[in-house]
Amino acid sequence: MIRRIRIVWQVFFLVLFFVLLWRATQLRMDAWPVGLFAWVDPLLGLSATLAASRADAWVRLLFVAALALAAALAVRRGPRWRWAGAVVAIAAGGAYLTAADIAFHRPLAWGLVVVGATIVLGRVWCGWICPLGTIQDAVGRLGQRTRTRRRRAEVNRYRRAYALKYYLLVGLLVAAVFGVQQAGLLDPIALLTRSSTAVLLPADDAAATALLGDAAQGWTWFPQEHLTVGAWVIGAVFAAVLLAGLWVPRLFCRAVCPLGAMLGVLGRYSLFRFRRSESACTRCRLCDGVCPGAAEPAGELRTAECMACFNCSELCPEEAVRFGPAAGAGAHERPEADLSRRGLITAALAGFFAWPFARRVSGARARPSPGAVRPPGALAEDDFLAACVKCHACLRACPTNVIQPAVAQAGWEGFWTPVMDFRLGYCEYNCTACGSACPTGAIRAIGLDAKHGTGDFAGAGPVRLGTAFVDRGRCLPWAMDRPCIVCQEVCPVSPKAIELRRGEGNGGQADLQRPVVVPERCIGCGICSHKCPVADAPAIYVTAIGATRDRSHRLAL
Amino acid sequence: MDTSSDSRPGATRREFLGRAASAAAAVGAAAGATGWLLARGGERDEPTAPPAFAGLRRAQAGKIALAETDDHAAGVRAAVEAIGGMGRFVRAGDVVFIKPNAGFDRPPWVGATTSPAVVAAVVGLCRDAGAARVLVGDCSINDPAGCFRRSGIGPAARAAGAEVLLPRAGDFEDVRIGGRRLKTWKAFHRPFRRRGVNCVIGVPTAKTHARSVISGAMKNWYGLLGGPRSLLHQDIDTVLADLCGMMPRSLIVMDATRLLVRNGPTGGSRGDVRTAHRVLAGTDQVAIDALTAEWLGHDPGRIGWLHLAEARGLGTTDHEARLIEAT
Repeated sequence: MIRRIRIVWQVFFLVLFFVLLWRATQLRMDAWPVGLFAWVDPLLGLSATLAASRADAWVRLLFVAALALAAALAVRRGPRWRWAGAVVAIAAGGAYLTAADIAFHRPLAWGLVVVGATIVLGRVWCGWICPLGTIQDAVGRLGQRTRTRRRRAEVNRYRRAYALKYYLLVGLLVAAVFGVQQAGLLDPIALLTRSSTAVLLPADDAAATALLGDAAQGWTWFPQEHLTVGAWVIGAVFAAVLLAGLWVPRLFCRAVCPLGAMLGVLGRYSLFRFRRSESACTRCRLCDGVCPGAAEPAGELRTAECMACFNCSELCPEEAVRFGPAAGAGAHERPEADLSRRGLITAALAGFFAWPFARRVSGARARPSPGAVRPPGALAEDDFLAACVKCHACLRACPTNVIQPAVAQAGWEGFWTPVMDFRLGYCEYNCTACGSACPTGAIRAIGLDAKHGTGDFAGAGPVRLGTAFVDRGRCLPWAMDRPCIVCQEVCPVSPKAIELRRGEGNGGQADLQRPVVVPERCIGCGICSHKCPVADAPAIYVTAIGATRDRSHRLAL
Repeated sequence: MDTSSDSRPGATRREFLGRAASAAAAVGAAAGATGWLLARGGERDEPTAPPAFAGLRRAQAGKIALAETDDHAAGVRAAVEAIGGMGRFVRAGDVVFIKPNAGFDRPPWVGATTSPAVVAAVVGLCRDAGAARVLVGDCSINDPAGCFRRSGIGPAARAAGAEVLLPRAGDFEDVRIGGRRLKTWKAFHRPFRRRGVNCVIGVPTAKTHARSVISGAMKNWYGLLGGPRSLLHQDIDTVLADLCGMMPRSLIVMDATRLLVRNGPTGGSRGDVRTAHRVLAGTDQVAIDALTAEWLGHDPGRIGWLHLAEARGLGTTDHEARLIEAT
């Protein structure tokens, strides 16, 4: 019964995920909490908060050292050590909160709900809520269907490789303490949002348009055909997650998911958990065959791996596995994650070294990169890189398809962060959908007055994404004495940021109008570039210089 | 069965027939798919494009009528009535396509898009004249869904009983326009064929434009073109005359309730807009655009495309001879 209820909830949350994704576009957003799943995701919340906070290097180092001590204590067996570890960790966290300048994006506080639920009930997020987990459950069932009971139990055996997720978590969080944000690459909500935007939703749109024709109008995910550059890579990662799940149920959750790892660390302290009664158990291993987390309920039950799915308790013919208060947990339990000290130290060092590597070696932050034109409302580059979890909710929301995942435009740190590709679109003057969709505040939710620099924001001036430059070697009126002025026509600001110089060229054309950009008026929206008839390499282009979000991008005096 | 599979390495007759049948089915399916793809491929590069917007009802009015009132819906009704009433252009059972200027994602006060009240009034007149269906569409420069919503045209047209057509990639096809520059071009044409549109009404708004001096009735037809239309600015005079020739003798209701006198065609500040409370109706696009140009402060005599269109016999720049006052 409770298993059925769980499946109903899983389907509900999966549907809710896609309903919110359906709403996450300029014209449908209204007041819908489209970032909800990312907000309640405590990994994204913690990682974004850690990375965006400011502290002296030695404070960060001390913090990590204290956490390392806590981990070293907690890894030991025995409740006393475990609690000592927890106390040290909490003390370190408290000290860091006071010593560092914490940048907290409020909606991320919802993550505490999942943290609380995990401490009470275990990893219910994984078993009951996570939409990527639900998808994998469905795929995993398909894979297990043709296998014998013994084979199923064998496939669900715990493997040492499953500890990888804990090391990934440690590495990602240590990197975050030093301001390097990469958690979104592996976080399930970011992964599913990204995969949906790049592959699932466009595929659905294409199918609906092909099959339904006109009837599909108004019922597509995107207003126009949506293209994510490099979508095949994002799609391949998603396909790999599904295929792995077909081979071994929830292999991604078991071995890779850093959110699962984080909840596993908390789950070991959970107040309620599953226990197996040695006397009632007949060693049939039916439960092992249905356990999505490879928690081995028929063996030494690994609470950290348990997803509280109730498969084992429901299917046990002897009712030997039961869910109940943790007090007096039996001997047949291994609550703690399976971690080696050596592995932890390696992971922490890897995370730490991401820091100098990001800053010094890749040089992304050493000087402004011309291609790092960010969506309107984006934070200054350092803060943006710290807060952006690469979930691509902004790509999803954008009506013009201009927002694209960076490859190298923003250094290796900025891989898959959003940048503007003006060949594919432009920033719509009367639109702030990306900021409203961003779950971590990397793109601030600004209104039109703030974007335009009108009303209360008249003093601050408009948000500029960059500055347009005319390439006089390619511009038709400049290079070829042919009239054009499309860039001036579509320029949305008043007075227009493109002025026309009368000119006479070789042909003696009387009304040749040659475009010149006025930098004080240009907001870098890029519609000039997008509509330029010299389409392959536009004769007017936008680079990040002049962007108001970052002082280092200053251009005009 | 056990003995046969053990002793003889070959297949039984039944197995053979089964395999042969599935092989034949696979080959047949592949051949069918290939044929289907080939047939589709053939459809794609049609050797002759259909003529552009053929089969539309054309009706000519001798006059252009001006209504000046701050009740813009009444102004539309009066102006259309003065040139013979909507019944002259729309018959019972017609499928009417109304082409407003919904080019930009901008609120109505900016003056970059046709006033929603004017569009709604035209829709209402069409319905009163017995039109079976009224479609409103434009291939906007900004995202069309956003344009129709923020300009107010979408909600107003729907409330008045029209259906809003937002362009999709499949709606465009090569059509023969037969102009001097615009010979064959991609246009928003497939919905016209599919829906059986037999009447077109242009509902432009009055705006300045750096390249064509003004954007009015003729420039409004730009919004029916697809393809790389930004190339057309290189010879805009010929192109606008070609567009007038593509849609001759069509009813035009010019929304000059406010004039975008500066910073056109996008506008953006209140200072760019002047209130005029005028509505023009007629079928002579040359006369309508010439008069609109004067309102916008430009000399029609210096607008090349007006002369080209006039020289082709598509209308007269002598708007005074045509103008009547509607009350």
